[in-house]
Amino acid sequence: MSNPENKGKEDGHVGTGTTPDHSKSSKIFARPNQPRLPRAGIEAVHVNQAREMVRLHTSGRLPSGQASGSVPHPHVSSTSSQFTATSNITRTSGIPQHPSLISKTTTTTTRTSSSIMSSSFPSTSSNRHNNHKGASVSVPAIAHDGECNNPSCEHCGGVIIPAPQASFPIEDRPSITINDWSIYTVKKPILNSQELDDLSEHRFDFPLPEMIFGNNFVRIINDKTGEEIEFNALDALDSLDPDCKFKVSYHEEWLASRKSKSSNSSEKSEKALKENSTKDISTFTENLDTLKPYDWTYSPNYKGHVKNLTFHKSTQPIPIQKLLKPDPILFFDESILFEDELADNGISMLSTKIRVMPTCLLLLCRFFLRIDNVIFRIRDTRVFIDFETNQILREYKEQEFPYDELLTIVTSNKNNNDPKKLLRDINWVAQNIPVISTVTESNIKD
Amino acid sequence: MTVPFSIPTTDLDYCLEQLLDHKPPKILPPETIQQLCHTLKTQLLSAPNIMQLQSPISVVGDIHGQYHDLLEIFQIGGSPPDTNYLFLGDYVDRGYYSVETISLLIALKLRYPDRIYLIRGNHESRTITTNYGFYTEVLTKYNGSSEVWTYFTDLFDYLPLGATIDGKIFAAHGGLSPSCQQLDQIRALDRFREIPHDGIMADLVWSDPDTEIMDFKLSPRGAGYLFGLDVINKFCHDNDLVQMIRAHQLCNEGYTSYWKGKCLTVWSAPNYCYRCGNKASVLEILHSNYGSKEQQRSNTEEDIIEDDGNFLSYEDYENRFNSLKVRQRQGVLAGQFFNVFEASPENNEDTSQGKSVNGINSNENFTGNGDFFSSFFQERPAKQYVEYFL
Repeated sequence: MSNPENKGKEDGHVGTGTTPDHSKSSKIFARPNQPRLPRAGIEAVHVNQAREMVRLHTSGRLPSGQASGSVPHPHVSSTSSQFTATSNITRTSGIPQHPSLISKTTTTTTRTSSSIMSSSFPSTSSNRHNNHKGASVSVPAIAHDGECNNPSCEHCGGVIIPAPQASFPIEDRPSITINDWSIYTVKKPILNSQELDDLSEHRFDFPLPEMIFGNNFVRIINDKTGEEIEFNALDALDSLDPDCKFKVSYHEEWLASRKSKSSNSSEKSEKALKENSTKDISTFTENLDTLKPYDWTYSPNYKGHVKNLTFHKSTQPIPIQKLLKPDPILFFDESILFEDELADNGISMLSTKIRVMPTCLLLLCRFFLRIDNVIFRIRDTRVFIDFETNQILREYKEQEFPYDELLTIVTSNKNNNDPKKLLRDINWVAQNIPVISTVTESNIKD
Repeated sequence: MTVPFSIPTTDLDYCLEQLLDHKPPKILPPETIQQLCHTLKTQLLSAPNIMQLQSPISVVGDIHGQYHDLLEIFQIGGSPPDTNYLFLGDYVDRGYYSVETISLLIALKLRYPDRIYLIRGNHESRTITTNYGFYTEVLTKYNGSSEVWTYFTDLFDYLPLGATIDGKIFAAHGGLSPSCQQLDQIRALDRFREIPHDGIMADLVWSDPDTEIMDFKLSPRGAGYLFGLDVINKFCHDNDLVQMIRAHQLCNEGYTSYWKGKCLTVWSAPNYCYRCGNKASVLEILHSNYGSKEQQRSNTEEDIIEDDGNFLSYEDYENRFNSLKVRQRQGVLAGQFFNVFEASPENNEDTSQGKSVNGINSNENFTGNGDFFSSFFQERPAKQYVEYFL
């Protein structure tokens, strides 16, 4: 199988360089300096109009100092009110209708509820930032340290995330204070090799997930009492079990074939190599150690890192009705803490979402695990804080379900020609697999 | 079969134009894809499992459907046919433009067969592409038909498994295999099949180097290998190689050097999955004259230069293949340079539109209802993204 055809082709390589000499580059790849003329037709006109409206709309959302001077303000407000109606419809339809916290978040919420902040709540746009239904609000947080690029919206007071002038990669550190409570989030790129080396030297003795957003966190502090709860990747990784009972789906097959075939193939190769290799090749394939066992699924037992805070078992559930109210969201942020693709055997991901309303906040720290053909696992930590009573409720919920059974459920729908698409949808999976356990705690004894 | 065995250059140029001159790129019709794949298959039939390539050449790692970042590579690294390229696999899945990416690479390979070389990664597989997004993307872009996916995945079975550069460097997607001590064992494989779960073919696209271990170690997840310094030293010694170049592992800097350049990882998907914020690189290999006198002299002259930080000046860039400073910092051999780049503006756009903030390939949500306003709302940047989650 050695290459007869390449010898001839080698001639062609002479004199070609890897130099990035743009003048020599073929025209096909040159990024056109001027945009090509749009094809005549309704489509292009509509798109351009839409772009223009977006531009007006977004520039209206910048803090007044930064609003582009060329855009007269009255015009802006008229555009935004023009779209108020539309987005209001989207918003209401997007709110989950079902009162069950446990499983009924509709999948559609992800997109449809993403209504524009400035236009979602026209009634509040007349309110000043600092007065949301009597709550005292400050953006950034009162104790915010250093620069903050995330101002609040002129119209609704919601914090603009990512920052209007964010450059990539995004490094945002928005914050907000409402009554006694300050919320901080930080989003940065994955750890670099230096940071990873330090971690594996000093903190972790197992291979770390492929993507660790080790500088990301969500922190909620009560400025008066000092009660604090924080979610970050490194603390979560500290909480892993020492081992993991799962293996990838083809483990048995792989192990068996390794035992039989490897001796086989080494005999064969020994014949083939004859005197070439003096070493006994079977030593390479047999008696291979496994790495020190660790939880390669990275399933944390993590409810957040708390300070000045004691939780007591509680029978009180998180008040769904309060969360179903379409109160304006003053602060919404989501970020990933870590993610690993399990060498393409599925996915393991820890992420956080937080939304802050004038009277309460909800934080969801979700761990999602899919091992292809093996299992689904979800571990949710929800933190609810009532800004009026300063009560903190924390709910920890575990879900697990065999992969094959869920796949059977999905494939039973004959119209579905891509069943695995749903299995990648974390929200859908969360609603369709059973709950194993739920524990609720509170900082106030029942 | 009436399908011709070669496609006229003008037709190929038209395909390239469809992909390159339109924004967003125009996808090729199924019949065209079928013909491109068929023609390339007939050509790849005669390609050996390990291609023998020569420097100068640029080596590209995982792309994962990040089409605009691929174009960025051609911008910074020179475009075909002026620069030779070796792609190390993982063209599809995860990004939003797998179809465009693999279409472009196939068209380029057919147009410039001696300038572009493609090898197989673990994502060039039927099972993996159904799990990680390529299949879904094809259904979305081709009106629910998986026909095109079949053409592509059938072609994947024909892709070579590795390459040597100047006979001194071995390049593959993943790493070494405990069942393989000689390159000839790879050359003797029957590669025209789906990637199996075990054996040399699987290990070549799956395994990873590990600086903490010796020998091969089983991965704790129950399948796959890690290999240590002694393994690569022995493999290089037995096969008269100096280095292994591979892709397969994400790294924030866009490249990783193991054991002083004995093994290199090149990663070419910046801001991977539109959320990692990582850099990417292509490895430019100018020559492999590691022992020449001239080279040694220039080494000693430059020994005095001290590394003053992270900034690469224009002079550094000009001398990038000769500067010991650059070489030491990157951990590469003489005549090699990691050309590092960041995400394309289009990648940033997709990111800020929040397409994949917290999910995998949620692009299906973006096909929308098709009415005018849905497209308007999709145009908005992600700043407004709020969710009444429970």
